[in-house]
Amino acid sequence: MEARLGSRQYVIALIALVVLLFVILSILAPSTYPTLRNVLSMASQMAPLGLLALCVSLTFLIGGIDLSIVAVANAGAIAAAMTSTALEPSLGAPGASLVGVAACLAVGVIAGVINGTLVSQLRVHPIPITLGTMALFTGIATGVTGGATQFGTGSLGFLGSGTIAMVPVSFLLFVIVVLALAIITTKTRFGFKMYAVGASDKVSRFARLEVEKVQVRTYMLSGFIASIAGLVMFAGSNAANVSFGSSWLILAILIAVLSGVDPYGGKGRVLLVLLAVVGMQQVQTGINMALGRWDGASFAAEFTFGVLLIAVLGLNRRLGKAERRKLRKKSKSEEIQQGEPTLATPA
Amino acid sequence: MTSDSSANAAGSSVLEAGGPSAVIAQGITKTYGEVTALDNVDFTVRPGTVHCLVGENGSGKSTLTKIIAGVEAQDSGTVSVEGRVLSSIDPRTAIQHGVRVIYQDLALFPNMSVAENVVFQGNRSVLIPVSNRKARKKASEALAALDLNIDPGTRLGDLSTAERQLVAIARTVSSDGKIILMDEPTASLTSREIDQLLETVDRLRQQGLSFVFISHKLREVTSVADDVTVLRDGQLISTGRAGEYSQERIAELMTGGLVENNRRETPAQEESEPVVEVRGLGLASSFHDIDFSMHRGRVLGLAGLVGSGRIEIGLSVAGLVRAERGTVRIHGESVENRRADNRLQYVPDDRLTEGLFLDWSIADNIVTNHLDGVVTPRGTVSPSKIGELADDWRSKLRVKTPDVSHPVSSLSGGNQQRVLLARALAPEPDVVILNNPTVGVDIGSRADIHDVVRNAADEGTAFLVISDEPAELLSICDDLVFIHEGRIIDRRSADSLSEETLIDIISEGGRS
Amino acid sequence: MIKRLLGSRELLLAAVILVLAIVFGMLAPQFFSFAHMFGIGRSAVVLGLLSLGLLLVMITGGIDVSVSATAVASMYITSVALLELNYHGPFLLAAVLAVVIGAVFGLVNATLVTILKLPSLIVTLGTLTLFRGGLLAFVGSDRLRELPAKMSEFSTAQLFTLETGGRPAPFHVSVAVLIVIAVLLAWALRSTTWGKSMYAVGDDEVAARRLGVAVTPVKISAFVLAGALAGLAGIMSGALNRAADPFTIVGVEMDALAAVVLGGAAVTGGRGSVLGTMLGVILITMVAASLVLVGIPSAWRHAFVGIFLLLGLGIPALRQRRIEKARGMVVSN
Repeated sequence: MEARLGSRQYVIALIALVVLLFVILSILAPSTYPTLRNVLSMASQMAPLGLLALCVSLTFLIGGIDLSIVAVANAGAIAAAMTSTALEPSLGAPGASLVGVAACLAVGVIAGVINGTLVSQLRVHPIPITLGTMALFTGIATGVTGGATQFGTGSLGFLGSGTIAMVPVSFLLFVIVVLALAIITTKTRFGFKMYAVGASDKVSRFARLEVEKVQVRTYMLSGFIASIAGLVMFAGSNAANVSFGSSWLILAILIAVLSGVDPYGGKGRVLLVLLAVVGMQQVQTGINMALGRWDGASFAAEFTFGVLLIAVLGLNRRLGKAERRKLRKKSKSEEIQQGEPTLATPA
Repeated sequence: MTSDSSANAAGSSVLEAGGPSAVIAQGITKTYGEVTALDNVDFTVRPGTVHCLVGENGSGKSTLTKIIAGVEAQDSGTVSVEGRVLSSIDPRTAIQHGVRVIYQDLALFPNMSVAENVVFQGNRSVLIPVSNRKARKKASEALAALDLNIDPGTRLGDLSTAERQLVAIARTVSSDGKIILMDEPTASLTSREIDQLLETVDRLRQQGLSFVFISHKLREVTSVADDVTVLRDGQLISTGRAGEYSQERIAELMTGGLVENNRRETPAQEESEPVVEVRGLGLASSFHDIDFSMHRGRVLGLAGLVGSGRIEIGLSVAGLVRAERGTVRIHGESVENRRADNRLQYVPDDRLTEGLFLDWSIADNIVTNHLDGVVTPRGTVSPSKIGELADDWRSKLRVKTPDVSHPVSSLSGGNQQRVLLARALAPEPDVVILNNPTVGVDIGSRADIHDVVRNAADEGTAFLVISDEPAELLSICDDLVFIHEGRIIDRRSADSLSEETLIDIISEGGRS
Repeated sequence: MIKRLLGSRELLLAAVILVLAIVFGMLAPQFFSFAHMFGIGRSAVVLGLLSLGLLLVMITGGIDVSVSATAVASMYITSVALLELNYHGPFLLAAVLAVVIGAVFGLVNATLVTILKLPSLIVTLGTLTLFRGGLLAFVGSDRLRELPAKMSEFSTAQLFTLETGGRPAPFHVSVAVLIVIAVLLAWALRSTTWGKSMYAVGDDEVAARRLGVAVTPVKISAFVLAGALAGLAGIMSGALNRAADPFTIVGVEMDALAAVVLGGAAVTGGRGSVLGTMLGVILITMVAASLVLVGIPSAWRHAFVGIFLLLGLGIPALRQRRIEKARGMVVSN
């Protein structure tokens, strides 16, 4: 179990990082940073990116990747905007919005099933496949809208900016999704198989696990969650456009990597995406605080994210290697590894 | 120990006198983790001779070849080739000194053509132009020299296993090497092809090339060797002129006298109703018209060459390869989606890349195929139940580990294989398909694993065993089905067979 | 031999291009003018150079999505530097500078992928944002309209101009540059040890190492060349547009990937050809340039690229799987 979840130390390190960032930024801006207002404001911004990061983590977990998530989110938001606007005259704003929500989520599920089916049936690496579907989904959305921004009925505002007991609704939604996924991945038979496929799809196949089913379901989940992210984005601004969130893919991957989920699959905890998002939000807020008045601030932020992505990935690999060495040593006492590694017999 | 280098054995070559030894490996020690794969081994190849390296799986033969080839780094000891100590441990250095290798896994490039594979040399200076026409010509010649009829333009990935092995041989013998290491070059070849290879080896020996030849097949060893070295568990057991070794003696040295000769006793009576009934199973270019029945408590063996279709038949029964024709009935009912049927279990042969989740704990590996047995009433996977089930099987199969939460990679080959068996047996299946159940397992564990299979069979499980080891087939099987080029060519009861006859049927392809 | 040629990816692609060209030509007669043809050639230059670079990386079994950022960064840095130095020399020197800068960016990718052994997709996604973000933040984000004179002049450097039916059809030098580079690369990949080693590394890295290939230098060469080609693509783009715009060449890595995959390369390495890639580039450029001609809004461009990419992946994958299935090589259904 521990082998699959990754080391405890990493969890502690991540918590330490989040706390440290908070302390540093509080010291730098004692009057504005450690305030309830700021904390709630940050919480209200986390949901879309956090949800997209969950998509990446889930697909990482099975040894895949879903690069189409931002395209799916935008396509879902556009579907929501267009259906709800079209139906508003006949169903009224709330009813139309409800249909819009359903349309958005349906787009996500369908997109996810397409990704999953292509990945499992073609057995081609998911990188080019999901890049292809990214272009396809973006292209369809661009074609349908002509690239124009679509506006909704405005009745989903509570999802974007509403609060329950001062806590932003979108943040609550994000937390609920994280917890649900944490339970699915670590407590269910399906989750067990996800880790198995991620650890080695070859071994899983020879163990007669239904690898294709696991892949389709995981990409479906990813598409579904991406469409929730699209919904939250749409609800916040009451607008949808194919070009929204263009830098979010890299951020989502960065957060997923930071959460310690192994990009090669089979290792990590989806739950830690929560901590990683909080950490990244603080980094983002910190950059804004430091560079906010400079024209190049957003570019410098992008630069920083790129550097962080590679740095965190490199660090994780190092830690992973050290960890494995330690685990091996731990149970060296009685039995020793067979000397001659068996080579694969060509099929 | 027999290592009198002065004795002049029969069959040694004309070039014997003078010149340094082709290869001298001195005091080679290699450990993986805390396992000693090779323990202070000395090994010398005289120029212009064939030196056979024999030993059981896991005895260190392949490791020794890889060290000579510069692929693996030894912990201590030196390798010198033609009198010069290899300065750096790197395949490039070894290649420059004329070392060529046929690796057990062939090391070919599936997306390249046969011609490109045959002429490929990676250690050339990068900008030297390669003429594709010349390459084709050279490849054709190399293939013709081995009497092979393969179009050099074919994509390598489209060849059969045996053809690939022959291409690997053609590449190695045509590449201007001086010392050729062959790691199990005949595993998938028929006796005719083997004769062809041995003739080629002999011809090249006459021309002054030196060979290290690894094989399981002791007949080949005694027919081609000038010198013999026997390894067991990483130790040098014996080395000397081939004339001093009979097949019996080599077998005894390899196993340390621990030859397991007990066959399965009192096989259960064949019941009228088979557990599995395979009828007319066929798949395009892989296997055809396969009929056999498996019965409760009986062990059926599939014998044949590597690449004969045995493994694909096993995979197909397990539901991992979809056959195009034929039916598989389980308890009388035809089952299409056999993969989802937990009454069947499959144990692959390559436990490191096909069998085990190496980073996972022993417990997680054991329960992989029996998740239904470790869930709480609410349907969530329970870590404590995983632990209990795994502990149960640890004691049943005597897996040597202090704790099932340890990573499975910390176990020895024999114990890893026990974990795989536990995984297959945990769901209490009716049928288990085993593919080479004791590859790379020490001799003691092999006997234990055979006991596990026999005991499970006694309790009523039906087994289908695919194995490269004739002795293993005879030791655990009740009945044998022989496969050649995807077809059944013979059926025998194991009682009536000697190991010699069994090998004959396998490599003659039924034409004897 | 003939059967193999018929089954080849290149022939299939050429047939698709031909059929599409006929369709376009029937819908819009001006499609078959030399002016339109040469125009397609000119707009294929940047994509072509980027695709060739990506092809090299993909043959070795990696991927490089940072090529577009490398291109724009090399172009912009070169332009800024030359303006700063008040440079009036030949365009060639500017191009060399851009190529060198691109190669340095390529070396960054190569180091991260080979030395730190990080997955190339995530590394190059990282460097994609890093290069672009760094460029915009620290070098500049203004569109430079006044380029060194020789650089701007290059935009009208025609190799020759055909006069057909009174309309001039100019053939730009950059197209010839692309063709020369493509031919050189095709030769190097087919007929040098370096080329064979590139395929070997992508096909089976372990086997390549055992046969004496210096695997790490080979991989580094792929990334560095990809960077260098991207640098050239960048400077060409700047010169052709007569402006150094740090916001151009966005998302072209997608088109490049589609072109390379269409041309038969696989992310798993060991496959792909220059001819296939160039045909892929022609197909994509032709469709992009002709959609409007036949009355389809250009907004659908991405959808076409996506479909091309998926078809390019899907058809050969399904064919391969059928072969493998017949031989019992596909484990699980």
